Amino acid sequence: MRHRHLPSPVRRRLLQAMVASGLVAAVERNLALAQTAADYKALVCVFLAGGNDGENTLIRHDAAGYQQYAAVRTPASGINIPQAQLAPIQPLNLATPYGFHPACAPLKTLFDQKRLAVLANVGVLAQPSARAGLENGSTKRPANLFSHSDQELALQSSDARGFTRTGWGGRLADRLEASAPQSLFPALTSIDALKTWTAGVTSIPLTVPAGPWFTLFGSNRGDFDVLRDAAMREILALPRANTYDDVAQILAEEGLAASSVVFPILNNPQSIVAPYFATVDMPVGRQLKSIALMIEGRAQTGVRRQVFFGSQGPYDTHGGQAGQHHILLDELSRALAAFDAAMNALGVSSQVTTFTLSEFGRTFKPAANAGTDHGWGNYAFVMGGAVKGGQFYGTVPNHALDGPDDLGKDGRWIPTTSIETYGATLVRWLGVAEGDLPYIFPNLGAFAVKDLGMLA
Amino acid sequence: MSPLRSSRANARIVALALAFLVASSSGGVLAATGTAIEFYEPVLRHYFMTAFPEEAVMLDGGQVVKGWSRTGGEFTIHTDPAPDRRAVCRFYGAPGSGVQSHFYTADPAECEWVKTLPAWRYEAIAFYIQVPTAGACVAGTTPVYRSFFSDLIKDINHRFTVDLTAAARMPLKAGWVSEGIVMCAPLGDADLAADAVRLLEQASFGPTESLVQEVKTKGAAAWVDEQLKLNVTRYAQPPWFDIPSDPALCVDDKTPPVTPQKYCIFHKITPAPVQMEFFRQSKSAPDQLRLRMAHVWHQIFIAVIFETYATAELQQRFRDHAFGTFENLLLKYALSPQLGAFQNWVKNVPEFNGIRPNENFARELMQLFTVGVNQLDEDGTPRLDVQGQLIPNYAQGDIETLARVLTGYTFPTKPGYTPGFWENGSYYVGDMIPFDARHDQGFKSLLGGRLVLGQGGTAEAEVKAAIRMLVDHPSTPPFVVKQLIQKTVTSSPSPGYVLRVVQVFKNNGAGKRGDLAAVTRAILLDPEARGARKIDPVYGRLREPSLQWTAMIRALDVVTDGFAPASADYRTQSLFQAQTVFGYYPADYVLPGTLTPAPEFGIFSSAGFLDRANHINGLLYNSDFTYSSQFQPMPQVYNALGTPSPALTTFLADASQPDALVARLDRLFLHGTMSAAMRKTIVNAVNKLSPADPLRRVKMAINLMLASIDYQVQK
Repeated sequence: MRHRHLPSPVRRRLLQAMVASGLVAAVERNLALAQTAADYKALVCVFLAGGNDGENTLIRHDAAGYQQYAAVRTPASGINIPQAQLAPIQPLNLATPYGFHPACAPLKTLFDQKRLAVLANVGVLAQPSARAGLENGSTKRPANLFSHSDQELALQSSDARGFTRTGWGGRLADRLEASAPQSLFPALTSIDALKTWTAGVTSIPLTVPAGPWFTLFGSNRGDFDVLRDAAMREILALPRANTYDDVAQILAEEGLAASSVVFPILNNPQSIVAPYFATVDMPVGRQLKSIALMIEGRAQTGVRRQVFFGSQGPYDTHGGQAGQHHILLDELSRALAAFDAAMNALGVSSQVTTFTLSEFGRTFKPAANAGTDHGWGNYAFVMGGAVKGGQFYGTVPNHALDGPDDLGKDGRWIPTTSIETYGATLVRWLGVAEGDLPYIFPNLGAFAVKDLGMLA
Repeated sequence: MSPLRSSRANARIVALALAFLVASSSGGVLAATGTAIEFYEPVLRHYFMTAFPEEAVMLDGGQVVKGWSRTGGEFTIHTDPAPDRRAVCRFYGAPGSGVQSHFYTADPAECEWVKTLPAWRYEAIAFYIQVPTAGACVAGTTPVYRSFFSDLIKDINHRFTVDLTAAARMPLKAGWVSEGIVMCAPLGDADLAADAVRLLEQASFGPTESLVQEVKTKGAAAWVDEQLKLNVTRYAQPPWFDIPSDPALCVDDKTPPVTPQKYCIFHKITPAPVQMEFFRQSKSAPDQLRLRMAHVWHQIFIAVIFETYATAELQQRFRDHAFGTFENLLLKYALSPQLGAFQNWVKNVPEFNGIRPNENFARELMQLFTVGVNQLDEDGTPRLDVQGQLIPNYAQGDIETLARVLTGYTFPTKPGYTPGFWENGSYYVGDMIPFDARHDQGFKSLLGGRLVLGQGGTAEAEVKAAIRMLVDHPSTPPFVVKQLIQKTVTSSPSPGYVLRVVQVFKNNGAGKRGDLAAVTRAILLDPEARGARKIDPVYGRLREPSLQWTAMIRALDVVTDGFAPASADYRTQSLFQAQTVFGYYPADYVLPGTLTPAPEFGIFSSAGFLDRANHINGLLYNSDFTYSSQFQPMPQVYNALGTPSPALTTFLADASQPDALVARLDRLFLHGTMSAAMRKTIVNAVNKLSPADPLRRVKMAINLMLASIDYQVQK
């Protein structure tokens, strides 16, 4: 695969997106589409970067199950969580009780309230896979299994081969923008950075900060600043021959243009969602706060089907896992609960669905230095008023080391639900037409189950 | 035959217009040198070059002949003959031949031969220029590369450019072939200055006007060679500090006067003092190249640690070993307790009690620090198997085996303590030490038998053998070299550029592999790095926030204690505090949705642009009002200076002449590539400000320059 250089198509595509969304002109004029709150839906992706240790996030709570856990993750391993500390849950559709990591107490509450569902053993797959086929080579494996960068790319692009550079969030935004040409605002908003998941073919996402500052400051002298800002915009509008100039310029123009709409939204003094985040002033809390504020400001942006991307990490707990994992799960759980409460307060709880992704799970068998290494299948969470919660979806793997669901002998579970099945469930709920699913998930056809039925 | 009727008509007009111009410009009133300017016409998909100013004006006007625009390609030519110059013959397709393009040659024999060809009509002597001897151009000139296109029917085109990257990419387009160096263009003063500025962007923390002058005088090679020999600037090494188990023992004593012993947390267990020193030294240190390369290496060999002394100790390693061998630098990194702790391989032990050896460093040692996940050709392009699939360099089993090799090391022993594998606590001075009793001494075979280790090997011997094997692996030179080029010169180097440097990596000429002084030199003196004009559309790299700060500090002579640049919210480039082992931004990041490499775009976005613009804003105007506390002298900083807005004294002299001011900034910040439109906008903005306030005028011009995308992307 030689590098292909695509300067002019990049330019054209990005420009088309700018024109299609009418961003520069329209947003600057602060045009807002009249809309009703009832006709709004949003998907919020929270990417747990680095590979969350699902095996310490949810643990079987029955005697046999916990015993199996503790026999592998022994107290001597340094990562054992005592059974008494778990936050117990009883999935409505399973006989087996489970326990959340003690830092996930807010998730237990949401699960008990049926506002949170658990998806077991989801992961990147090239095709439905079983151990024998993977080992004898008759079943295709994702490229460079267990590598962060490769599995993150595969997960976010939904291409197990690792070739595709657009993401399923971005392609979802492509279809949303195409089906709502009257909308004047990007369908996808990413917090802070542009990850593969957010890259579309025809759409470009907006990035907003996890915080209030999304505006160009001045020098405190009005006439000077007016002159400077006008000249700056003039320079930013000049044609570019260099591809890097071109893309940087489009992002810069987008930032300047969108700030006039987004800055007031992020600094809304009358916000009813902001107070919910007062006690979660840490990275993932600030990200979800920005997203909540954007949803609260949906009348100003005029978007009816919206997608958000945030991330938290690093979950790459190879060593000294206990402390770091506790902090991350605690922050995540409290931030998710705050977000859920904020959506309730806005009255859009059943219109906003939040879900987690992580590039892989971690080895069930512990590693030296009180940590875990890169695994495969993992738990994911789906939260919101539309979620048929309090249940597990998918299939919990057989936890026997070197067993039928282990690729190897260290507890790297072979996923039983693909990213495609999971993703299709989510985007279908958002209202994507069946005919658009293959565009977003080209490999969906490889999997029999197309909908997990977890969303109403 | 021809693509479009209108194009044919278009071309005929060019020919007619040119006949007139050639005649009128033969009067000998031109200066001794001129400029060959390149144009492109997207319908014909033709390049065209002219050294006749009137012809360029006509094409710029777009009235007589429409559709041609400048590519940015230019080189200097002579308008007079001289003994060492050749006359350049200019041809156009003969009437009725169907050939609708121009051809130039400085080869007298070729000129006479083409005159005999019915397809071509001789027009004139276009200019005079030197030619290569044995394929090379003499000092003081730069190669002009020729590429040739033919559709094998009638459509023919030639391109002449001094930009090797652009020339190297021409054969990637259907029908184009490279024809090598055909002329040697003289380098004028502006060319030399532009190249000096570019070298200093690639090889230092940023150009200053005086250093540009120095490099121009010495030449790039001499400056680089001098830099390679300079003594190492050191970080002030804070003394070892054992984080007390009781946090109350690290108390922030805030009573004035401030000393480095007060504000315990700030001075002992944050990177802030080292970050601040980095920015101070980036301004003043003479060994700019070494420090710049250490900055590159610390982004490849990542390790994040909290203790201040440990950060300084690790960062000093990159400076000390930046010009040694790759193997030695890798060893100094791999055996550092900082890396040991960061990658969980300190105190890694063989399998016991159902606990496996830790795989963290084993995986990243191969994936990120040596061979990369997939096999590479020597020019850095991935190798493919017969099915067109990438070929992995290693399998999960290799990682598990390498994890067994990486066992048996513990922290260095704290002064006054008795060594013990488990007893040695966190201590970050010197290398980790081996305990063979804790090393997995079993049989090991790695990478399909590339390294076989029999039973009973020692930790040190096996770790060094594994690292030697990975250094010697054929994927390592292209994997490492490409990243070094990306972090200094350009995000998307041509395969030829990677290959040339890889050859030096493999053998420095004296049989040594991985000689980093030679590799650094090869990267910086390569023709794709050097040169006055860079016009390839995927040349350059987005400035990292930290390097934009150092460049501003140096060019504008900013006085700073380092606090403001160190504490600025870079939206993820907090120095020495990368979030993961993948660094501040992923080395394999691409422009969203494309395959165009663009690592630094991993931390750029709409919000990121506003950050950058606001940092510039803060720097330029913080003295005008209380902009933000980070620019003020901070209470916890010993000998605090803050970062007051620069006085810009040397630029004030030009405030009354906006044209001169902007031209000067253009030379220093954009190597003289500012477009006429941008120049006009800045000059107009400056002119609208009262001459009575020269500082405001200068700040306006500098603000617009620094915040421009043209500056954000180093080219």
